[in-house]
Amino acid sequence: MTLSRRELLKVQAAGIAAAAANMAEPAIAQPVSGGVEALQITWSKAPCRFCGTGCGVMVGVKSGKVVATHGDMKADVNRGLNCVKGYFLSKIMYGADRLTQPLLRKKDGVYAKDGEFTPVSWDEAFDTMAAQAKRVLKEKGPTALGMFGSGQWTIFEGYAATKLMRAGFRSNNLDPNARHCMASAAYAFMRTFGMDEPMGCYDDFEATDAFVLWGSNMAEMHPILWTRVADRRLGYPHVKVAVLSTFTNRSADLADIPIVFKPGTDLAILNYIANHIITTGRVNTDFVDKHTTFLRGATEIGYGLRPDDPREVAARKAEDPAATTPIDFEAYAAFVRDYTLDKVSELTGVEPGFLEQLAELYADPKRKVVSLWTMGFNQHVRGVWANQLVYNLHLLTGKISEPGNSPFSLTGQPSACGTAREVGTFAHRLPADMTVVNPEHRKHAEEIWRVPAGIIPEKPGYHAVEQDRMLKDGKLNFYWIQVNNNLQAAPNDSNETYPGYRNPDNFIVVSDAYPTVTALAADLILPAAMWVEKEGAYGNAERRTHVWHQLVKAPGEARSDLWQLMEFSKRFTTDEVWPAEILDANPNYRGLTLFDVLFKNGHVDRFPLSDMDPAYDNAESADFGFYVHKGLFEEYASFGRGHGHDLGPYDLYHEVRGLRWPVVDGKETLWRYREGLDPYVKPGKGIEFYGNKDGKARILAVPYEPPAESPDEEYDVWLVTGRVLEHWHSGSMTMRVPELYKAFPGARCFMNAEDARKRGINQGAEIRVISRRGEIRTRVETRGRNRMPPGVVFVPWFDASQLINKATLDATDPISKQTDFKKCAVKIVSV
Amino acid sequence: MRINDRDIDRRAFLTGQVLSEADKARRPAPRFFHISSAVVTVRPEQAAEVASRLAELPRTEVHGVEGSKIVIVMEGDSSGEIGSRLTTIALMDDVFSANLVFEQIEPVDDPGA
Repeated sequence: MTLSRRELLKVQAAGIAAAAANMAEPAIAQPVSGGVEALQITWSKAPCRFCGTGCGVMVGVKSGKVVATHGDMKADVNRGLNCVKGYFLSKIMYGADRLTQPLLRKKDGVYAKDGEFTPVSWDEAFDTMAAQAKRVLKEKGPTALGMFGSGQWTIFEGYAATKLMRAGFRSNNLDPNARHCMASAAYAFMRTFGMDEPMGCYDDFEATDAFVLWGSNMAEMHPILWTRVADRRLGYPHVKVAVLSTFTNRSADLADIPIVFKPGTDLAILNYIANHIITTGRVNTDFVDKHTTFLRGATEIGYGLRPDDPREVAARKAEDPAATTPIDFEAYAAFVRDYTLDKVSELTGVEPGFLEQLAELYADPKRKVVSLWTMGFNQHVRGVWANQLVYNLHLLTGKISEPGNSPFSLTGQPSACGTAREVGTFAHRLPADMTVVNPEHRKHAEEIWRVPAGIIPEKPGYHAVEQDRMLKDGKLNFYWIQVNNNLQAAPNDSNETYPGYRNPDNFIVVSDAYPTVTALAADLILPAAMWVEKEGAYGNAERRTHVWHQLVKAPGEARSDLWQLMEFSKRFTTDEVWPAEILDANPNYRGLTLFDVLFKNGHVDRFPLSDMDPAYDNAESADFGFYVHKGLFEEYASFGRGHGHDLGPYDLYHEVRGLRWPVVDGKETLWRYREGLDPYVKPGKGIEFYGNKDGKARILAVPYEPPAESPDEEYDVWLVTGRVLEHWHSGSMTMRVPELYKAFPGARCFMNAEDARKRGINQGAEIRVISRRGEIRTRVETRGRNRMPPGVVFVPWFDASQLINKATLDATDPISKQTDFKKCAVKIVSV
Repeated sequence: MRINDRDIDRRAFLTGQVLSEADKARRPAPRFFHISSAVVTVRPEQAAEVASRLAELPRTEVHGVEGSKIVIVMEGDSSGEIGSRLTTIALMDDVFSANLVFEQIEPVDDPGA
């Protein structure tokens, strides 16, 4: 490259960055003649493959390969910015060990549980897999069949999976890894508003006067959103930021009110703030009277451990952990009266002054406030309560459903909302917030899916942690895992997860792009296409549905999860999987394959290939002979249209950078439940929480209850697990970027320096992190980005060679069944 | 275990570092040249000081400082090099975030392609 061209490119790059930062262009900036087009790169839009923020990126393709990505200036979410993980999007597809053909464990030429992974054809892979599924169906019935999906599934993939499992195989044993990350948030939305997902959106950030982070290290996990928070804080001096965590992380650098509390005591802080609002006379009584009702929740609800676990036996007194009884405002006020400043300061270890300042952010009627949370709230044995207790604060003050006033649940995966929650891939859910336990909902789903009445089973299936237990106990015997690395992600995995995968009665299939620990523990590995190797759609944390085209071909024989689900369905006929009585009553379904019934059903297959944009490939549609994605989307969208979950027409999504539902008359909705902003609120209502029949939201009285396991004399420190900037989740993609791998090659144990000194451990020394369940070896970090208080250690879980989940406890929130990865007891021993 | 007739160390396998020495030897020298711009967010009162620290990083130029924003341009031989520098910046003291905006990748031996 000539020097002058290099200089020109640098000026161009600086100019674009300046525009993204809303700066005047540097004086030296000049337009580059010919610009980007001259470089023969084809640019197309897509959402990022990583977290739930849902940034728009422009993807540059040249000679069939993604050669560049940059933040999309037209995307509202990130306005041209791209974080470091987003920057590596193109690189994650080109790891040297991409899986490119199916691998089956074989011995002497046939499948054997103790065989070696051997390359096989798709036909042999699916034939073996189908034979195993049919064996299990015959021996044990549909409840022995299960699937573990993902918030990284595209909407089409999640939708195809839920149809195949529930209406095809008649099993509700379908759960997403989003159970580990968002189930508490989803349950709390349903219990409070009768409808899932936030009422506000990211536009709240530029309209608010205060941000409160409840257990979320946005600086490392959501850098683009954190940039928007920082811009608001730094640009408007009256804006305050409060950061609550169990240790001091990078986000605390921006905090006006930094709070480090003892693990689990956030519940008490939340009730203290409610008490403060009431005792200082700042309840918005008009709002509370018109738009809320009060409930008391069941207490002593246990820890979601195995029923015979001594901790569970001792802690579980409530018959139904989710039970609630109506109370009035006075009873609620009396309930939170115990949570005085002195008592809560003592319990939490937080300075009273900081608690008061925090409470005032909510109480002050002139201050708008956005509450933000991620895993600190959700991965909590009282996660549903924690979510609901923060809604209490916004409801008591009426600070909700308007620009700048927003309780906002952030997400960790790109389609945790769009796929796991909206499509309904949880063990109890159907699309559009419906559930399998409701006969009307099942009937409605059966009609839209055009399957006979009675096909969808009414009993919820096994949730994530329960699936692992049932695999180990031999009750779940055929298991298909797609787009997730659960052997690394699941709690207490060497005791409760791995044994189930290697149980000789079980057949385990893993679809992935890379050989993860989960894939290596499987019996069959199916190579998956990823991200822009297929047409896709994700839904981000602010209800934004974002669609992209297939931009490149997948390597070798890798195929998308969508193709795998649909192709596999061809190997089963209704006679093999449906009960005789249903077929007797519906003889026209006899002899059809599940593919015919679920996908080539005259509905999903109604859009011809000519509806596709000829500029882009579409591997699945080319193979099946119709525009698969449009057909699935339009059928799926019919669940929500007219019911507050409206999606726009499919083709529109190819033109825009996503739209926030409900999309009514082609227009997105930024704030829900408020007249004038949400078309579903009836005129004259002002506010209407229409997810609940009475149009009101619920304020819940529940107490502080301690975690499942606290430090004692032997296991004397808290273990908190989490993430780091460089690596995303289990690291299966980011660990394959050599420089990111080098930047943070192995997990470390962040520890308080004095705690280390007392144990005779030096910075960087090798240690053992030991719990009652298991242990890992790692190195101590007493400096660096996370500053630990005494008695708390933090270990990130991205490192497959140091599986910290050997030490974690499989305690779950008894309501949401989401695991608490943030609180268990360990000891630290030098090696 | 064996895949593609290659013996692979388990840790290397799990972390994607599976190239054998022979593979590495076959891997060509850097063939591309990256030019990338980023926006760094800092406290306005610290912007000048952070900018001077950024300017000391290898192959990194400061192209503008305004309020809480610093625009930089980075050059490198690979996206890994650019990305790891961006990570370093994101984790520097007094930096709230460092986000990439634009990147141009050019074949080194193919001017103006």
